[in-house]
Amino acid sequence: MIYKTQFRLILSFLSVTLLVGMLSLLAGVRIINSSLLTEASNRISLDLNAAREIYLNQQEKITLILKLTTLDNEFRDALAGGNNRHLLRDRLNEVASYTDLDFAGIVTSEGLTVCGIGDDPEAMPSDINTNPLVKKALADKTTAAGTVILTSSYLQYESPELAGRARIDILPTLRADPEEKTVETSALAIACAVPVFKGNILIGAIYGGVLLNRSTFLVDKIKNTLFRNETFKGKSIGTATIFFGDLRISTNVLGEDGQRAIGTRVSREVRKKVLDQGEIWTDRAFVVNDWYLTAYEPILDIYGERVGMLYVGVLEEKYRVMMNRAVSFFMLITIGGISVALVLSYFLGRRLLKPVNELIELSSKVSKGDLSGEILHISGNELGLLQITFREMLESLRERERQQKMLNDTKLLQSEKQASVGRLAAGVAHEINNPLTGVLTFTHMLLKRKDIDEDMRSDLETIAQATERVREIVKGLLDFSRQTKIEPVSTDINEIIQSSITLVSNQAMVRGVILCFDPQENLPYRTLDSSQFQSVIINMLLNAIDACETGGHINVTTSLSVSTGKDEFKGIEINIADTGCGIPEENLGRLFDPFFTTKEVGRGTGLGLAVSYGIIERHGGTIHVKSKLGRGTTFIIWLPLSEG
Amino acid sequence: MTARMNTEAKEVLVVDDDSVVLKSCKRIIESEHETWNITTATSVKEAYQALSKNSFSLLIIDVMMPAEDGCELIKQAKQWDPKVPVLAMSGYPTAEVTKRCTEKGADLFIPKPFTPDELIKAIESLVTGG
Repeated sequence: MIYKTQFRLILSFLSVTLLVGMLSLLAGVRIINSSLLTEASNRISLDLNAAREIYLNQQEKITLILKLTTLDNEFRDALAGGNNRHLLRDRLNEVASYTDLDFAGIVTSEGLTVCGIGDDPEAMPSDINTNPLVKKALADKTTAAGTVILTSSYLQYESPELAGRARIDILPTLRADPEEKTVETSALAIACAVPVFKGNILIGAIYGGVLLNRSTFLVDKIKNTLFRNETFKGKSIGTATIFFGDLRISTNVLGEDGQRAIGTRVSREVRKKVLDQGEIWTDRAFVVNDWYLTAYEPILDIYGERVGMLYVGVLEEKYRVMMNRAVSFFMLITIGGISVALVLSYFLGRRLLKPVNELIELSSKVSKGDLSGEILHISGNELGLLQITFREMLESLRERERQQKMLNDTKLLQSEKQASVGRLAAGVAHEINNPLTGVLTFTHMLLKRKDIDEDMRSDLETIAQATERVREIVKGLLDFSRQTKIEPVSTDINEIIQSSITLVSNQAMVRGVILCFDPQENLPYRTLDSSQFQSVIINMLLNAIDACETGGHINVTTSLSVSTGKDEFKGIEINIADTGCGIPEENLGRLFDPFFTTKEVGRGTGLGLAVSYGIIERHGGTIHVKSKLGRGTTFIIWLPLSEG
Repeated sequence: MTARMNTEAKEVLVVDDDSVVLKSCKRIIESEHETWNITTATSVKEAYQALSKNSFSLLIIDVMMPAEDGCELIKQAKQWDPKVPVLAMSGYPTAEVTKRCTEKGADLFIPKPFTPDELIKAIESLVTGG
């Protein structure tokens, strides 16, 4: 039972700690999660801005150098004259190599190509240049710069090598929109076309650009600038990608084969939001084969069409590991807290329940009759009160047991005394009775003779009287010792007492003692040996009469009472109180001993009370005496109603 | 104590292990009934011998003799002659003893010690009753 209580205590402790721990864990994880994610998405937005700047910077760099080139008079003259193609070509190559242009060229105001880079001027086709930027610059007579889609045929026109570089096989990608095309031959480029004027007359244009398909320069620059080549578990933490439509054409996201994941496509959700709706995406997204915290924004071409996307992303795993670490730390704290709570509740429970355990052990001992236990430490709390009460109970139980034992010892001693004296008396009586028969017979025979004188007769009569006394003593001894079984019959105790009083009333009258009887009415009948019981009452009454002087009172009462000594037994109490001389205290203890008498020789055998005691004891009752010297004595006979 | 009874001769057997008691009984009965013939026995064995030789008109038997059972003697005697009056006596006259004697067939019980008058009265009540 007690272990259950301790278990419950621990359980409640545990559940509280678990609850609090789990709640704080949950809250902690959420806070970490949201703050980390917020931080990450903030950072990724900034990164995207920076990436855009790098992207635009590339565009401006090209624009700037092309513009500077057009400002040179020599160059303008050469273009206007149309006779110094070498100079034009040298300048173009210079510009192209300086800014790493993938393609560049000079056209006339009609749009006919004058020269390109790297090619043999003789072999150069002199037909119309289809570059949309060139067209735009010539048409608008102003610089056109930005992102453009270059068709496969144009690329082919520029150089077959360029067309080959632009060609990208479209790979099947998880989560991407279904796509029927298997190869992309067009390309995305950052390019610029600057019109050239002589005076106010448009004489041509110079253009140049970088191909984004398969280029690594921009994305790696973004990566290096923003993420400083940080890696996590062998993977780059930061990645950047340029999309053509939803196709990765320039990226440093690696595929499963460890190669740049060119040819894979963006997931459907991102495509829908960024390309179709023109919004910026900042969220976690599945990139190729990993989760990234990402930012996407659309890339607009010179006509303002969404032709691609710029992407930067941070490997989510890094944040996840950070988060996991924080969660683990939180969990560790929670588990630690729970362990501490467990240990604490165990010890606290033990300390709390120790006195209870002690009490239980003690009471189980008490219930088995062992009263030797002791409560050693009294607790300072409410349990202490219980302990004190228990201790008091234990002490009173012990006291009661001690008293009971003393009473039993006294009774036992009395019984043993009675039994041994009884056996002795029986033997003596039996042996004495035979010679007494002889003495009685022959004394009486002598007394019958006529020839004896008066002196002799007187002597013989003395012998006869003395012998009679001996006979009485022996008879008393036998009465005392007799093992007669009681012959119980249902008896009215009041009636027996009344008849006993009548029997001794003569003696009382002679002594001038007043006898009163105050019977309890409707006293229940009790089965007892009425003649033995009557002898007890008569003996007591005669003793009382003997103790009283003339004018003394003897009051006899009967009543129903609860026992003296044995518990819960209802019984009948008979009080015989006299106003006589009383009994000295030193004699009270020996009162029921056989042969104990204070009467003068010849007036008592000292067996009356011993016999009475035996009779009452055999009826299951007790006799007690209360006495005050000079004031009187009360004998209290108690008989249980049911013989126990 | 009529004259008729005094003159009528009777055979009486007294059994007791104590010679004082035997002597006392013999003395009391002879002083009262001169013509009666008193036989004494100090043991159950002697009593059986006497019983086998003579027939008695009164048996006085001590029921508490050392190592011998007077009650069994009473029972035996009553079996042989149911009409013979038996007076049982004992120096240990408890209720149990009295009851046992009566059960075995004793007609009357007298406790020891007794005065001559008490014995005579007991005998007379038995003999007149029989």
